[in-house]
Amino acid sequence: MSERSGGVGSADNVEQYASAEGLRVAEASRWRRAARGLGTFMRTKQLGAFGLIVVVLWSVIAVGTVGDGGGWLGLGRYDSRAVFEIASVSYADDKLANALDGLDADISTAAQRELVSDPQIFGQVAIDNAVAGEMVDYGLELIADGILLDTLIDAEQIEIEDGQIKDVDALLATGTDNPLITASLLDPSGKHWFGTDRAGHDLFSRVTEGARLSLYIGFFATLIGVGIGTVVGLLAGSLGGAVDLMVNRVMDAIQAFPPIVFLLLIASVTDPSALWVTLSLAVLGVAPTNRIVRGSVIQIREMPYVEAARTIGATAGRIMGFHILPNIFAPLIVIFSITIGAFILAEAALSFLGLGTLDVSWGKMIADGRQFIVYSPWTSLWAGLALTSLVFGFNVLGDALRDVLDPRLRGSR
Amino acid sequence: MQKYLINRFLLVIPTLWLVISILFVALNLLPGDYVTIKLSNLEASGATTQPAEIVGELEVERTLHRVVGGNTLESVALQYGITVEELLANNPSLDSSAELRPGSTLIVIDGQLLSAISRRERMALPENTADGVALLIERNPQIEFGSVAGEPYAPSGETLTLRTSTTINELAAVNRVTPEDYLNVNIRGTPSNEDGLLAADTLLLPGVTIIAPTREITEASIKNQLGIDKPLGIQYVEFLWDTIRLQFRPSFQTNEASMDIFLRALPRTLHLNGYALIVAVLVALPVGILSAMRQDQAVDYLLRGFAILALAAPPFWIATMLIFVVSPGGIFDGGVWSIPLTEQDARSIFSSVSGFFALYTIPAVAGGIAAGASLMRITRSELLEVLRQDYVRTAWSKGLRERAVIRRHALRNAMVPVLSVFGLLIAALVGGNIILEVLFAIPGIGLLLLQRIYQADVPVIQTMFFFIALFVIVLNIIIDVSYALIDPRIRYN
Repeated sequence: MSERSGGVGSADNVEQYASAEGLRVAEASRWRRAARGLGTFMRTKQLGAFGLIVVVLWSVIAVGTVGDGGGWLGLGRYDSRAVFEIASVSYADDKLANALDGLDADISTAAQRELVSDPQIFGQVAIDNAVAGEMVDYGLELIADGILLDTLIDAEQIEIEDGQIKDVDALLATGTDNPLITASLLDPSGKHWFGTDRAGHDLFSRVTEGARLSLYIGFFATLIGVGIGTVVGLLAGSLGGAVDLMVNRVMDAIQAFPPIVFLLLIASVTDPSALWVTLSLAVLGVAPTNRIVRGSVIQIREMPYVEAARTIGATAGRIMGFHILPNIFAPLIVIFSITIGAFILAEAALSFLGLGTLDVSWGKMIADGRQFIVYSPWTSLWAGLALTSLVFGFNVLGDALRDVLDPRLRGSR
Repeated sequence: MQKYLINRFLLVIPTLWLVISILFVALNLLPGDYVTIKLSNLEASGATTQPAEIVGELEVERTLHRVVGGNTLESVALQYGITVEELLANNPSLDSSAELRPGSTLIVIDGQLLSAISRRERMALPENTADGVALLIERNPQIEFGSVAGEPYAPSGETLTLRTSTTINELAAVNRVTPEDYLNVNIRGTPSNEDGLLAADTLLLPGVTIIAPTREITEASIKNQLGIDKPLGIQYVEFLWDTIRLQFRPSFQTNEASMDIFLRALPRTLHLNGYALIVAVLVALPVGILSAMRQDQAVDYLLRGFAILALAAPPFWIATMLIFVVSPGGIFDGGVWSIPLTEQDARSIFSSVSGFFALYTIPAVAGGIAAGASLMRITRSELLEVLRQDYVRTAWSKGLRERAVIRRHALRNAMVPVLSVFGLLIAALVGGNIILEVLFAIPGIGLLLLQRIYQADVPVIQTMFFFIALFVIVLNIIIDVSYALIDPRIRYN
């Protein structure tokens, strides 16, 4: 195709010309053409290219962190649902009253309070054996040795004899990597790159798991919604008449509900699950897709080549599938990328309200983090940044694709 | 023009019918849930179990709050609708700078709110909380009620008379069964009816033991009263007819008229959305015009970059981070702002201007930014389109100043297409602000809607959904018609 020069028009001519001149015809395979198109896109639409990179990056992170050992990327080093337990001030205070009710421990200093309050390593053992004071002393020893925060002690190894902890030195020597004291609201560190949330979950692994949910729901909801919208739009546009009128009324009725309100309507009657969120989002995707596809179909229907196909006796189905559908692919790709971004935002909003899925989700993380934001903004901050960057990526990618593929749609959103 | 108008209005009829049908179909799945919730509530209060004693009095206790991690004086005060000063006054051991120790207990109110008593004592007091409060005040003239955040409370240590006597009629109304249901189970020989003289209007004194109807009877009775035991077809026709006449069923929860609940919440939502819309337009128009005038200059890139980011960032996250930035304990230690208590004065711009700005500014900015960003992008692209037109070039070549060209020639024409997206914009704004209402505890339609969804209060949910949809439909008509008035080409398409 790249050899189109001189007066040569058809492929046969090109080959004849090339062999006569001793040239090799460049076999522009489908893949190479796609790669070249992508290269041009990256060069001319830098912002769109940036968006594409962001989206691909998130997809790789989302897919690459599935499974044990952090997936094949090795990034998800922790289970997003496992609670990480290391001594921390805020959590300790929380447990203080519960753990120490009625025990005769001296808890005048902050360090003592911090230690004695953990139910698993000190509190529970202490309560069981009524040796809270002993526990405090033991904990202070640990801190003096600089051991507590780094090396963690297995609570099961603590043995109590006559109300005294047995063999403290031996216990210290057996410190294992078994995390025991809840690491609630930790700041980012080398261990927990994004810090931890209130329950002591590792935020980085929760952000990556949230990415997975966002992308899955966004992708499948868009796929279903745009798919149905395309079919409906094709039918409405090609058949016209009563079908068209009816479809438009239904679309009007759905669009009479603002998107979030429609999602609330569905969420109020269904169980919270990823499936229902996906399906209700998909319904929202039908109306805009239908509008654009229908418009394109009405335009294309009058084109000479469709007229020609009809003249030689092509059936309505064949015209729709082979002549109209390939020509509305460009707007479909554009709708697809713009809709995914909007759906990811909508899913987050629903989860934020507590009506979305029960899985780890960015919207829910923002909501969780909000309650203790003055103590630690990290939970909300990371989830929000991740959400914003992913939606940003889809938005600018969609904008750039629209400019390239379908300039008519410019400004439609 | 007339033909266009008639057509436009005729098209609304099937749309409205479909909206009502969607509401019916979707929410018809819910009443079952409501019945379950109601039954378990009644069961918890002893209404559908076996013999229960009629309670007449209540020893008022203090209202306590157990501190959990993350609680601040402000957040506890906000939760109970009292001021920090009142909280400190009730807890002399506390000083305003101290951090609350998790696990400790605060005295929030030195007594109990009458509304809380009314909500809890469902067996003794009417289902409507306001009626319950009024009745409590009427029955306890000897007690001097205090007041917290405009709500009366009973001081602790007092003995509150919930009721002096009751009748089968009253019990039946509270428990959503008929008096006959009660009489059928309290037959001759049961504790309340040993002599067989019990009637629907016999006075029953506190201390009398009465047997409640079984769960099955109660369930059937509730369904009958809610009208959900009829065939679906009849229910559908009734619902359609009621909705058309705007006669909505009363709330399942409080028996209040759904319309009243809606109208009570509406002003706050209008305040928030109006403010947010003003923010959006104030940001979007100048910025969009500037961006178009300085196309591909540094200013343009900066503003467009900001708009793209603002479109991607969810308003509820922006609001959350704004709270962090301005509230005490956030970035600035003292804080410059904290969420005001919404129940304090009306927070309407007509009653308190400063109160209005204190409450609505942050949510309106957060909600307005995203809407403003999309408006700005459209303004910019439409203006750029117009600036390329011949008549604008003519205006330039006449030697007109930039201001005159933009304002008189370019902007007027660019605004016409912008108008067409205004409807979608406002619809999105209304939807998005539901979340902001929840976030900032503004008791508008959004917050109320969410609360009622949790309670499965179908009539109220239906009313609110219906009016939101109606609003969007009417808005679209107004925009379509004004669009057709401005641009005659539209009518013929």
